[in-house]
Amino acid sequence: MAVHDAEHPTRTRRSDYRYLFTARHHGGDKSAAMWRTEIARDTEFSIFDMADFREVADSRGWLYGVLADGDDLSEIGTCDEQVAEFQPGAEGEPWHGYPKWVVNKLGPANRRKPHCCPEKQVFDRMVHVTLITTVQRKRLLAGRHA
Amino acid sequence: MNGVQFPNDPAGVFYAIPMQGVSWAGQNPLGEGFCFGLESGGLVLTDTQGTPLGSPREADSKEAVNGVAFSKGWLTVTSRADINLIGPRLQANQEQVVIDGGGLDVVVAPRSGYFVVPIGPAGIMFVKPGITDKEPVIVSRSDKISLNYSRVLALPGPAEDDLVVSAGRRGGLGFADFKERMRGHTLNSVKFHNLDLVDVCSMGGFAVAAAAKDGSLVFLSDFLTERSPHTVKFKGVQGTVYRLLYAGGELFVLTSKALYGLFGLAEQFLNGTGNNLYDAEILRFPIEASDANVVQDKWLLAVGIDCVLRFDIEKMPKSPKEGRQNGQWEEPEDIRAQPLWEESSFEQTSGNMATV
Repeated sequence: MAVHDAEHPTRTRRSDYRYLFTARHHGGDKSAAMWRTEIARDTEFSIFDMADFREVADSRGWLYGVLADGDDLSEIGTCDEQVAEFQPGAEGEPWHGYPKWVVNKLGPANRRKPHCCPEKQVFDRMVHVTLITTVQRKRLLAGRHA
Repeated sequence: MNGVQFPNDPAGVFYAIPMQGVSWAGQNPLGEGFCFGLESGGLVLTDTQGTPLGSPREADSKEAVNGVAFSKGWLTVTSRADINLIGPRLQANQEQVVIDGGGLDVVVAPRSGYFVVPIGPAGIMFVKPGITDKEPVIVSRSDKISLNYSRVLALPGPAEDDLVVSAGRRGGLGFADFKERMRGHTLNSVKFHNLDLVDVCSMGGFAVAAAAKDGSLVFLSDFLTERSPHTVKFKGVQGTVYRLLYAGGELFVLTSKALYGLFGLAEQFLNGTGNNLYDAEILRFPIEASDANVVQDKWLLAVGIDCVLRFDIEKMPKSPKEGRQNGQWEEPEDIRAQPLWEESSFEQTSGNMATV
């Protein structure tokens, strides 16, 4: 378990992106989304690399990935999340990622969230590049486990 | 087990209702027939043959519907992005209240009429029909017991209260009472090592069954008093479990591989005739579906890829006693999962989260 930020030694094969394992999402902040300890660092990076390789991105260019377990999807987060969201760092800084809860969290009535749960186009793209099945897309779109 | 395929027959056991982009299918909240929630956020009301009754109702959220319920003139539609309360009925210029935060399902508490919405690790939301932006939304959760509230059912309690049972993933099953204007309530829970409980259903009275993601089943004959649940697993039930349903006196499991009817199992359990050694005729319907619901104890609706799959439960061939054996009898493995019971305060928080 990372207690300090640590960068993966290799870069993604498509875009040459760097990747940072952040302490915040590896047990350093209990209020933050957290990777399961069973997910090895190389596995976490492989999800990121595949997201980049398959260009599974939302309208902002943020990347999304899943971890297949045979015909099923693995839970990657401590709250049973199955989708990882990866966001770019500042200019010249590496990307980082975390398990993404597929349902929007409650918020105050006067502040609608422009982005929260992954956009539909993300799941459509995942089907297109055969990361998930059509039924799994329907499940994830509804906020359910797949 | 190859399974059984029935002819596509509007008057038969199985009928595929053609409809694109459906994300939820269940009872028409306003009367006879069905309601289909769409990936676009809209709703289509149909008769039992799937013929639309009027134009689809468009939604503001544009997110896939994952739950629909109706209480005291108000309709609640949930999606992963928000919770929409529409009243008093599906009419033009109707009142609409939006809660900015996603729900995973919605049911109606039978006594209070409140909408009960599981919202994952954040807890369970209780929403009064007709809520305004001046009234708070109630969310209950426990700091001590960690449940990921994924599905709920609400039953009439013995003391003019509502009893809410929830499937809380690896946190197990949660049980809590609810009354309007109550200040605090208690959460009881039972969890099992290695069981990831994804759904729960009522079998009448206070008997419930729950399903784990791997197909393991948990039975409680009376969740108010029983402390030794039965835990079994059928080898014939394969795939990731999506739903566990009880209809026509039988249990059904929808998985990523198929829909399974577990015929005879609930009866043995409820009547105590199995002496803890159960068997079931497992009928496998090889369908691809993402969700399912029961309508009026007669229809089982499953959300297919480009259709809604309608099963007539009464017409399903169920056992050799009826002269037809389509399934495969199996004695489940008694997995003897040890229950761990806990009790905690179910803390209520409230806030003005609704927008009119």
